[in-house]
Amino acid sequence: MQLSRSAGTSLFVGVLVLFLTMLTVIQIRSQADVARSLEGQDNTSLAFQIDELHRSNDVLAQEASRLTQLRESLRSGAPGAVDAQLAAEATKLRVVQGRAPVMGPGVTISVDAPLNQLDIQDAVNNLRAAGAEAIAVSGQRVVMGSVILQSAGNIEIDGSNVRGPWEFSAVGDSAQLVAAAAQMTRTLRTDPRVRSSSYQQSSALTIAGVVRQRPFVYAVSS
Amino acid sequence: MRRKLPRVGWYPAVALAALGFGFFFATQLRTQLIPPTNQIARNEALVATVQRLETDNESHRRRIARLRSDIAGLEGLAAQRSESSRRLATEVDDLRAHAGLTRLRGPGERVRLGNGKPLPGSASTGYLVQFTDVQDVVNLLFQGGAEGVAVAGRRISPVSRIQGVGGAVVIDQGPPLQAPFEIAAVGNRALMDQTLSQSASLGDLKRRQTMYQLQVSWQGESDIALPAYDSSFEVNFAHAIVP
Repeated sequence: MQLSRSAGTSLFVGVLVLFLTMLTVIQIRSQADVARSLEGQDNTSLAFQIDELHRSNDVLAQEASRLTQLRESLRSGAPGAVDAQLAAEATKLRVVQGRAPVMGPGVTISVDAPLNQLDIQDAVNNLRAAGAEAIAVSGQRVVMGSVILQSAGNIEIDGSNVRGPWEFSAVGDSAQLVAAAAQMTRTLRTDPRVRSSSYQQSSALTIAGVVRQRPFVYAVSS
Repeated sequence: MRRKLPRVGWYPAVALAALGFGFFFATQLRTQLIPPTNQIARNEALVATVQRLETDNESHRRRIARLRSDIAGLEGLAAQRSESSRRLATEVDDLRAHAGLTRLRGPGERVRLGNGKPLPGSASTGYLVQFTDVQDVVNLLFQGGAEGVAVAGRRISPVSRIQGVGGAVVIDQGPPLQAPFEIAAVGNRALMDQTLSQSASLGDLKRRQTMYQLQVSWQGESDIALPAYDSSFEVNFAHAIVP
């Protein structure tokens, strides 16, 4: 009788320990799972990625639709239509490469400050990220691939001397560009080097500057 | 003489203590286990959405590449029909090559950027390669005479946008990319190498390389192949001024 009571106690303690161990293991594993799944992929980052992917996929679907129409038009084979398509494509590609003057809605940011090469690159990057389709810095057209250099206090853009007071012009989606311009001017005003900074929205901004095409020297296109 | 309490008298006390522990752990489970489980489920749902959208993205870009190839073939045929079409087709071919719409190959440099290690007890994300780092390297390669650049196999065009948050980098309409990044450039190999090696170049990256062991390296190669740009040129607001 004494033996069976002792066995009952052992069993009770055993079950209790088992239960506690199980809870501890579940807890530790759950926390480890959370840590593993969130590593480098927090919800903010994932939300950003989803937002960007939705937007990108919409743009890509539109591009695919435009190209499908273009292909069908070329298949129709009318010589006049083919030439018109090619001329339109050439115009668009010149705009993309900064080789044609452009006009459209946009903003102009004026900054009176001794800006350096990095300041100018940052400003151009910000405007591009805000959806600018054409950008000029104090009249000098800038595309991805334009070379912004600083030497002895002078700023050169694609080999041309550019100096302040600075004027950043961007044509594109006005709403996005105005938001970016407001943010940029707010940030610039906190910089002690900046004497003044403001922006102006325009419904028909002209960017007359163009980029000279650099021929391929080392690269072969195929 | 005091009566000895029988040992069995402790059992209800132990049972009550176990019951108390049970309630305590049940509360702990509700407050600790359930939120993390929901967090995992929410996180997994977000990851699944990203993966589905990435698949759609890949499919769109493949379709665009196929359509561009079809169009180039049809333009080639059209060019044989008239002199004006031939002239225009030649001009468009040249413009496409300079816009990044064709493959490019030649000598160049490969730059590799990898995340470093976080400092113990620091919340700084300086150990992560960020989109601004990628942008800086791309700018520097163009400064060093690059004629074409691709980041993680995504060709950079004259209107390319490099954006991001945290360690995720988005190039144009492509999927979010994570480090390590390989940035390949075709062009003047010697000048690019010299530009990258200058002490004043990539100051922030080199500082973080020391501080966080961020990985920054580059190597010249005699033959690098860059893919064609496979996204959209969004030109909806800028209209060419025809002279």
